[in-house]
Amino acid sequence: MKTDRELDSLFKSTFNEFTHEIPSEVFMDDLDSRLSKSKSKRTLGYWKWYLSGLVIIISIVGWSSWNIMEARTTNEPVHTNLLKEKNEIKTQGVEDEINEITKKGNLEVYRSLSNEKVSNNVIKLIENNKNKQKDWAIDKVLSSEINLLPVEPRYNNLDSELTFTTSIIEELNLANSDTLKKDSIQLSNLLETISSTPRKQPVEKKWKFSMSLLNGVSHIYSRTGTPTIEDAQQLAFTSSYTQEDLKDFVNHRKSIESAITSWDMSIRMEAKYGKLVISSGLDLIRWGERISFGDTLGIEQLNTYSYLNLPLNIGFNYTFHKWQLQPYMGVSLGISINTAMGDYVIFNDPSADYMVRNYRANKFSGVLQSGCLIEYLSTSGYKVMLNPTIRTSISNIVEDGLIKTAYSSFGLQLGVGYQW
Amino acid sequence: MLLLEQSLVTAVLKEDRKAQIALYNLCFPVLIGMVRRFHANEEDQVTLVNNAFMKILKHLPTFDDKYFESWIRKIIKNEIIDDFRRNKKYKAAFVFVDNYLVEEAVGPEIDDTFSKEYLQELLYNLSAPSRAVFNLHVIEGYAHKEIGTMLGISEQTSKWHVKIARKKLRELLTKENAYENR
Repeated sequence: MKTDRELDSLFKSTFNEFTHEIPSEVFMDDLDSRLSKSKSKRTLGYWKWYLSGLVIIISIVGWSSWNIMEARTTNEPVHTNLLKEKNEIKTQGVEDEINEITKKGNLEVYRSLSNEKVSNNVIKLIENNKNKQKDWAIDKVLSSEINLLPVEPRYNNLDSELTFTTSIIEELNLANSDTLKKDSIQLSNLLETISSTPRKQPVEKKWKFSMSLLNGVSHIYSRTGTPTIEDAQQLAFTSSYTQEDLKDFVNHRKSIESAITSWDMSIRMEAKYGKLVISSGLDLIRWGERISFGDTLGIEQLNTYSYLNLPLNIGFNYTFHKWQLQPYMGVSLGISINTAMGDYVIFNDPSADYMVRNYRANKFSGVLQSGCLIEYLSTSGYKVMLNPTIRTSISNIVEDGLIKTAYSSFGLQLGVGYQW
Repeated sequence: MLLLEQSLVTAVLKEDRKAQIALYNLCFPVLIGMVRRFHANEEDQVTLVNNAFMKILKHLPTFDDKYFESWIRKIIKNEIIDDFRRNKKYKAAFVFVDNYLVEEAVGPEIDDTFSKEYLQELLYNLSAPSRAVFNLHVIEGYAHKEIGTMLGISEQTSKWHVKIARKKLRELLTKENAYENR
């Protein structure tokens, strides 16, 4: 073996033939744990979607339930509700009776003015309605216990009670009965007393706090950074790479890498002071892209990098009845929560040889975000919300030599929350 | 040449654990054969072989090439090279030395009947970077420019490592010959 060629040939011929070999226990144990881990990872992936679905269902059901509850507790005058219910009753005889009662305001009035027999259906309907509509005042008036009326009403909504009582007085004035007219005067006096009684004004809270859980999807698209000649030098491309080649490389990357849609989740805590809103919490954000390249290897790669972000947003709150609109913007600091490696295709000339390289995402990332929270706030403090968002990473998530990648996304989250 | 049966692929795609192990046993000689030439440490060998196998499993649904063996060779090669690129201790070891002559060295006659295991042991006497470059150039047949691109070193550095590796191997083989001829 005199020459280099002979030496090379000795090693090449010896090593290019492989012999059958059975993996030892160390290899098998490691493989076993990896296969189990990859299975449990996928199972966790399914759970995330189940959880998302669950939050969406809870949001929809919650929103519907609150709407129904709100409608039931609305303080409407008795006769309005009677008219509503009247429409649901098909029997002509019952309808006529209700018309008569509506005109006269109350079952008792109806009974006292005419000796007509009132059907059981109508009695039941009116009794139910009385329970719902808090018609305590008219009960008291008509049972001649007006002097025993408490100065403070039993119900929280004083204004609606006063309105209601006024409407009773009007109805009593319309009635052709001396007793009822007398009751009307007594009730007017009572109303005056109630109105002149100093009322406890509810103290408007300066700060309002709320917490919510949001869940949604984001469409993520990558922004490919242009590497420098110095970056290429690190890969020994100096002799062949020009600035034009680098641009071609970036364009090729753009053509083989495509946007993905991913799941995200946020825990949001906010403090409102008047119109000003400051919010923070935790955002689980995922960046990444899909790579489809080549025929030989048939590369179909999905790169994903998960970050736990700590956001700080500032926004303004505009209220329209029970709806609130909250445009906001802010920044967040992200910490990588997995040691995800992304695979990227590196090539000098894409038609020739290429390499698939592993790149690790940066540990920290900065994100600029904005959105417009749309909330429906129930009187009980619960709220459902819709959160369209735009996020953009202000630093490269992956950065190593030729590969420089930052990301942007737009998404929609649905959530539930509670305001104190 | 490795032959991949369609029934095995189908079972692996259904995540049948027995089929996955059967595929692993099929790929193992190729994977370990290559990794062993680059790394002496068993822990490194386990990591690289199993990393590569997980990639094989991941990309198997999109594999439509007839040449399974060359496909898995490419995967394990990339895995080995990526490991070098990721590992800072290797990066530092790829020093650039420019004052050397690339000329063919001629040594004494050496008996060339050596076992695979013995030659493997000889390779472990080289530094990790020299062993990697020697393997890629001499056994895998890559040009220095390609090796430079893969490992992130210059063409000259690659040539230098091959030269150093050959010199060291020749010395060891000569020593062994002299010992046997005594």
